[in-house]
Amino acid sequence: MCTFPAERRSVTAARRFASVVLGESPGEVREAVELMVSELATNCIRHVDSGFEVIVHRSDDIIRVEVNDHGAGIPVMRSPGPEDANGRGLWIVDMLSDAWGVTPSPPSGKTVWFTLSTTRDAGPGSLSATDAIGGASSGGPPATAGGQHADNPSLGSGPAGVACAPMTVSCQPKVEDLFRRLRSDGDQRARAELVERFLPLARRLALRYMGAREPLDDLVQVASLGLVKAIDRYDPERGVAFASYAVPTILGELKRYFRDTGWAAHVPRGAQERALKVEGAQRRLTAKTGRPPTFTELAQYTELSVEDVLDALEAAASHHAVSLDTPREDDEGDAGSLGDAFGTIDPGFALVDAGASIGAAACELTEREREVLALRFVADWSQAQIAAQIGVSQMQVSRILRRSLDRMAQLMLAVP
Amino acid sequence: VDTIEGDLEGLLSVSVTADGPRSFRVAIGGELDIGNVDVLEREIAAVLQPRPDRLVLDVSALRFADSSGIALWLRLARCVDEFELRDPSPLLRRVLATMGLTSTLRVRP
Repeated sequence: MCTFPAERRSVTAARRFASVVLGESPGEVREAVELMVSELATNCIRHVDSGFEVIVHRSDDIIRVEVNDHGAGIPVMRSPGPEDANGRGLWIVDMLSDAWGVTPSPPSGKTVWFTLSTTRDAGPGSLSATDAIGGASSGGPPATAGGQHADNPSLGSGPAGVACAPMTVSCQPKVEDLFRRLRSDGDQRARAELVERFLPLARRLALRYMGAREPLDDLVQVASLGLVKAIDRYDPERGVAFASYAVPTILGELKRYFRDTGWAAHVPRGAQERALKVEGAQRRLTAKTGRPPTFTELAQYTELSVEDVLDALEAAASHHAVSLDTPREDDEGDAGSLGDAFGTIDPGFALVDAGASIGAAACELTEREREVLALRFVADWSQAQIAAQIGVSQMQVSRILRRSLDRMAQLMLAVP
Repeated sequence: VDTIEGDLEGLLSVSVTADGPRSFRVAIGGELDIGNVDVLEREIAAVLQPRPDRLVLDVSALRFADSSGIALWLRLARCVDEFELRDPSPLLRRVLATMGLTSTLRVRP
């Protein structure tokens, strides 16, 4: 460990220190570490104006460097535009390291660390690989090259990956290593890289389910979610290759999606299965006879009753819903939407019905009871006002109301 | 032909050669970081008066440069019509390529 004061010259000194510690490492590894240390030290000086410590750990095949400062603030990796002069420091660390991260160290300050493996003959994005991807002018991740790894997500079908296959095998971290980093260090970059690398697989599985029913983008989305689940649940200790675990997980996610959301209305499981059966029968029989099958033929073919066939066809229809806003022209040629053609429940009819019953029941009440009810519910007077009007106490009004309502309820229920 | 030689902060050497009426060639050697990038920028700005049309920055003798250096090159490239960055190290070349700066800085060869 070595401590450096908060001045610009410290950047040079920190880099020298790292270089000296790594004296025996290959030149290109040392150069990359020097550059990354220089960036992290520059951030300490430029952004938090703090002195800092540099710690270099070296094992047989991994170099881990930590830069601790005592200032506030957490570094953020920005994506500068091609013309931006600043904001490239962490970008460079991200590009050259195998992993990096930030750990706050209370009460103030933080540790920014990165690791770099020394056993590979080339870094994660070595010059040769960069060239192979065609200049990599955008700086985007070499996602297309991900296909040709030993644990091969695209199973050799991707034409884009073929040309640079030998390069990518040597310069990409292995899938097992990525999982180790994710499980033991919680390295989110490893997780992101795994997602990126297996996305072509998810996409390919989604393509299997492509049909008119669901947009491909949605399917890819579902498959990608399945992939993320697979990555989070995969246990490397089991000794199964990740792809063998991921494929059924992703397919399961796609199937569940179709089962749950492929239907516009909720249809019971049994009816769904019958619907699929009948739809299949419809297709096969149509192909065989050259005309749409009758319900009886469908029933014979599927060994269901005609009732069940009709039910199933109705259920199948709920795969697709028609919008209430679908434009529609009525008989008089007026344009409108489908929804306009639907009737609504008119509360007025119920009111007429209730009115007739109440009228009949009210005839059974006394004059005074009818008067109190009318004042309360038609004129909307308060019980106290009614009491003053008819010359009784409010208590009595309340009793009259309750009694008359109970009687009317009994009378109305008694009438068939 | 006008040539100056200088040694900045003990880490950096600069030599500026005018190889045409409005064309300069600046060769820098040593190490470039936040500690001396400002001095270098002032030095270059003072020499390049009036502003040239063409500036070739030869970094073949530069042992080290980080993002502070890259930022300076971008500023220089922006203020001349024709800028060229000659002979960066393989590591720098790779960093510049990944950042998509190869064409902005006209990295040669």
